[in-house]
Amino acid sequence: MFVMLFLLSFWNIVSTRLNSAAASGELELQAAQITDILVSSRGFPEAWENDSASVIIPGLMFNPHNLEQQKVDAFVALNYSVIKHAFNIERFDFRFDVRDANGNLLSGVGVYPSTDDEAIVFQRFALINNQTRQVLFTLWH
Amino acid sequence: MALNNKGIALILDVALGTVVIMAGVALSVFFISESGSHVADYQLARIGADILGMLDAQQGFDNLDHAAIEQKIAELLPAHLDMLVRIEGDFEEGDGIIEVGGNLPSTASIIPVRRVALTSDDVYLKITAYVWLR
Repeated sequence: MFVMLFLLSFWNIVSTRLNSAAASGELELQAAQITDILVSSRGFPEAWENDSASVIIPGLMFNPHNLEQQKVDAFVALNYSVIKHAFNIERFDFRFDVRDANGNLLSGVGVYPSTDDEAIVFQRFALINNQTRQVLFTLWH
Repeated sequence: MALNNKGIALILDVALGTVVIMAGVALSVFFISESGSHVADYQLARIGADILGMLDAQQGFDNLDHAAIEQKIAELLPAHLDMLVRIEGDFEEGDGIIEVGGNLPSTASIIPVRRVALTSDDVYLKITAYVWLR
């Protein structure tokens, strides 16, 4: 009886930690994958920025390590829920920022997390019009 | 006496079961915590690759200018990270090996990122960036 009680309470603690770790892992993985898609692909269809309603997967790349300003502008103008649907992250919230090398915000879309939320920030660097830019994607719930 | 043997067998059975369950739980915790650290390592690798890629795209390796490469690294690298860039190739300076950036730590986990570049003088460069948490 004692062993059973010990095992049950132990399992309860461990399963809570496992669930928490699994949720954090999923958040990290999704943030990494979405940032990769944004920075390393042109999106689908490739010229989606000319007709935002046609977007299936948004991508911002012009050439490797170069982003296209027109795609960035079109992306931040997209509806919040459209972006969440495109990346299949309806159960999360997100914030996307483009900042200069000094950290000044240039453009962005989405909602910032509060201090109580579990959030993952994935950071990449790229050139836009030959200027260094930080791309930050924050995924949270 | 037969009852005592059954009791001992039951206790051993429970003890063995407990050990097996504990081992299973410990393995689960280990593998889940391991998978988390891979994403953190991937973040370091991507930052290293981005910096090398941008330097290459801006012909930053063409004149093998230490100061320019170091300035770019300092400009881009987040404060919590450090980086060493090793450039190897068929050039005279440094007998074909140039290193720019911080000193490799002995304790921190180091993530290597490799890239091959071609300068405007048709010199192939093998570039390795080592990225680590400060």
